[in-house]
Amino acid sequence: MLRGYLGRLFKRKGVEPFVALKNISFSIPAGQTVGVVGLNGAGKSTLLSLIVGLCPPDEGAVVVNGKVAALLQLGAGFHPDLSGRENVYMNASLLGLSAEKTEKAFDSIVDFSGVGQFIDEPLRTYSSGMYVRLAFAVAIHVDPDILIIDEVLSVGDQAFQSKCNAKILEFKQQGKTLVFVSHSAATVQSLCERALWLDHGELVMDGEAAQVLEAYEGRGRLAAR
Amino acid sequence: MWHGDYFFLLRNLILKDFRTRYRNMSLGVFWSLVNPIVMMIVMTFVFTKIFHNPTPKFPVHVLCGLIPFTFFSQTWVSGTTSVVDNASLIKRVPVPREALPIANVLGSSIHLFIQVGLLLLVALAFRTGINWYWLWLPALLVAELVFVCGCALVCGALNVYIRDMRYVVESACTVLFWLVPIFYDISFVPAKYAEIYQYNPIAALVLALRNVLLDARAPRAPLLLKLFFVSFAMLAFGGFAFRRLRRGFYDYL
Repeated sequence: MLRGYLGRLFKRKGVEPFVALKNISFSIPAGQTVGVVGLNGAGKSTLLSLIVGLCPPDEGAVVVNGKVAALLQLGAGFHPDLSGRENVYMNASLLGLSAEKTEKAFDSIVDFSGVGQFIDEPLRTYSSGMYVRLAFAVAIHVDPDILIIDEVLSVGDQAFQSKCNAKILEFKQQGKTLVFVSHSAATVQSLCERALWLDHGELVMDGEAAQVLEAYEGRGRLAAR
Repeated sequence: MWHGDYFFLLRNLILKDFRTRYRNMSLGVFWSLVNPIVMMIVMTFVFTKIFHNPTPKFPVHVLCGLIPFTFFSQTWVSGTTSVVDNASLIKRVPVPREALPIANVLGSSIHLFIQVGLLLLVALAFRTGINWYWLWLPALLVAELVFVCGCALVCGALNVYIRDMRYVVESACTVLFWLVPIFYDISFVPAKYAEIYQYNPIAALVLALRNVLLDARAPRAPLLLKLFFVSFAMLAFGGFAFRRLRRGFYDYL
């Protein structure tokens, strides 16, 4: 069960306190895939940071039951001077993999990323595509109960996108809980049963993915006009 | 909320720091020997040829002071900035924040071990002889590591909120240089102050090293008690302070 009762979260910005999130309350049962949509600056990343445990709420409580893996940034801890191999170990340890599991998964990681012999070359020689593929390859080998994904998967080419989606579907079939931030309505539609719409820090709508997306897109169209 | 292999994480943080620093250098980590050797030579010259100093085996004497002090001051400074330098990690991955200063201190400890190796070589060259009291050395070095960990935890956490901490620490080290009996023997210090010296773990460590290497005897119990007590108390305080301060890290980084 993932339950989030969130109150206000203040971020000091000059004289006026900036409220990033307010009056948020929701509960996510195990195995559900939830999409979070909203305009930039709505508070989506802050919400994820709270769930992951990066910062404590100023009011209210966040209760998480189960092992969480966060993909808020692909390649956290990656350093350009270290080789791909060394970076994989670093990133794996940051994401919570043990030494033994990393050893066992290493070949599978290199395989999935498709970087081949570049694995022993410094990361600064990698193309941006290789970088992203390697980072994602490590991330998916973490075996969490709850997976939190920020907008990181929108980078990369078509082949990468389809690999990502395939892997996420696999997680779903395994019964894992997914919380997913995306700007792509199509992705949210195809992967999520439920969607949360955040606007200026408030939870505007919480319900079936199709309905929420229709309302969200509709409002977008109205604003553009 | 982070479930992971703590030691694996520490190992990787240390290796990352080590590799990125020394990968493209020729002498690499052995540069840490250059400073103590140069300082030792200069100080020996100044304090034996210019200011006459009755202390025997002066190079050994001064190295016993230089090495603990140099390691402490460099590690304290780098530990202080370790949290802020890794701001991107803190904002993205929920790893235990204490791992950052701790990994920094443990990674720097290689310098201490190399320099102590130098110290032992110089001691042997000056015919101090090896004796059973040398077995005290690992315990003494551990005490220094414990103490500097505590200092790094406190100052590393404070540095997030007060970015001047680094400069405060550097100034404190400048003062410390004179307050630790590096180039003078403790016997020069008036009795009423000598007692207080022993509460400073760096000074206490210097004195203990001289007991072991130069006087060929075990350090006295009161000195050891003060050394270990203050070191571990600092570590406990550091851990406690860090826990309290880390709540706001995300907002201030």
